Amino acid sequence: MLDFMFIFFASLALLGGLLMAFHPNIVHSAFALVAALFGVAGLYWTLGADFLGATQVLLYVGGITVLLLFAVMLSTRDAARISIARYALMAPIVGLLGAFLVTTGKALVPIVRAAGGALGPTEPTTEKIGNLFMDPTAFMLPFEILAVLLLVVLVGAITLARRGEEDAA
Amino acid sequence: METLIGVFEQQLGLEGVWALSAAYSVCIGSLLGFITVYAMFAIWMERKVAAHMQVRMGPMETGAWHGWAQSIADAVKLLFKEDIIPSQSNKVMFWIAPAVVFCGVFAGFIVIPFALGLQIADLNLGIFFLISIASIEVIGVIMAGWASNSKYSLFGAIREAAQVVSYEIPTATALLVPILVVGSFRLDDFNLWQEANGWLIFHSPWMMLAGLVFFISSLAGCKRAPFDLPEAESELVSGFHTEYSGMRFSFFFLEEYASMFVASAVMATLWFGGWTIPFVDMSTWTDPDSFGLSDVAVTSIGIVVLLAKTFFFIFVQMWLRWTLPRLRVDQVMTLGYKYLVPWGFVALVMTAIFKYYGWGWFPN
Repeated sequence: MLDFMFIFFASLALLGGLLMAFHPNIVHSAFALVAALFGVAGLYWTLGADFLGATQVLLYVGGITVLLLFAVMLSTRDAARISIARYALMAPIVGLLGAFLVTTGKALVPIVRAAGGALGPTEPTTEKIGNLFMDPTAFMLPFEILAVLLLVVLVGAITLARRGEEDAA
Repeated sequence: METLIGVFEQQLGLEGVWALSAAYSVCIGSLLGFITVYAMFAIWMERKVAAHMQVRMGPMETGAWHGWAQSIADAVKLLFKEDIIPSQSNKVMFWIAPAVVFCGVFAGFIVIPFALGLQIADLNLGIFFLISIASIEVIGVIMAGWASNSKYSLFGAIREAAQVVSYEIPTATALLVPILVVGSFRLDDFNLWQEANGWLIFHSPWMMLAGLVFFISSLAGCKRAPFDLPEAESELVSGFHTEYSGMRFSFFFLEEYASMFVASAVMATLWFGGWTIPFVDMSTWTDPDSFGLSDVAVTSIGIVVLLAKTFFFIFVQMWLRWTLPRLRVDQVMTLGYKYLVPWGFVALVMTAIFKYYGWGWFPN
């Protein structure tokens, strides 16, 4: 069952990524990116990283791609169409990839296992991640620096967005 | 789920994959059935609540007793309606969108504990899984709005995207407050904690504030009035599902009522004890010494307790819908960013202080 799930999510991520790269319509590309990111989240899940998988869905699928779509949708449908038809390039790649997945997908599973992937829900990871983040000997410093960086980015974004307002007033 | 697989393996002699598929089918089937029946009842209830608030009677004719069969008649009508896809729409996206929207809400149901041991997936990540999977819904709404190739639909979808992304922040912040006190993401841990200690809403004033923030932002998440801007019928016909009809339209409708249920069930579970009764250990009721009830009876009592609380919050949502006027777009953003987000953070920080010093209306 888990082998099947692994192959399913791997194919979803790969095909979604390919579709995103080669589809002539930019909105379709954005939706394909959603599928690809969801596939990656599923891979995290099958490899035992449950917290990481849920975070991937929350931040990338539900947050960042929504903002991306928000911007993309404001372009008109004609402008969204990239003129070079790249379907011709895409067809053989998808075909080859599909053949590869069908024939060797099952063979990939032991390789992943050997590389240290757990392939299956092991013990919950949330508590361990939290402890590592708050451990001064582990990841506390990078975690805090990242938090400060995000705060600086936020303040910077607000300053940039409000600058025009003051000039107008 | 594990119990069900065990039953299929031992009682019916099914093996591995077959037992698993059978268990999945039973879970998904019963959940779909539950959502459909619940949505029909909720739509009837909404029409009745609306009518009585406006001093009317509401549907009275269909099914003799207070029009109870009105929703069934409506559902049959929707099933038989012609399936219209606008010729200028994007066919594939138009076709996928209702399914994506429904999947997001449907996946949320699998972690809700309905009674003692009655839960499809007892995930350790519980509530975190629920809010992350619910964010998929907005992708489907954007898909529907864009694929319809209509200005009203697109405006509705853009409003929905802005609103949901903004209100995810206060929702998550408010949810962190009970998580902080209980120290777990698992939904059944909240139930057991509250069975032992009493309802979390009475933990401290900050917990009440967090509950209020969660309830208001969950209204926005469900696109319910006064936050129903994505489908504001006075401005946008009916928003992102303007071009949808028949069965596909009913999926959007089903989704709205299903997400109301999920939000209310989370509210009931995290702040109001879920299926438990405070200070009563329901698992002892099966003992011959106490009540000697069967497992089925105890489970049913749990379901009734949870549904009573959930339907109370669903009623409050309906009550607000027929009481408050719709907010303007800028008012929605002001409320979200200037009021709910700071309130959420205040509740979080104060609860952390209360927990550290062991303050509160009952011991931590």
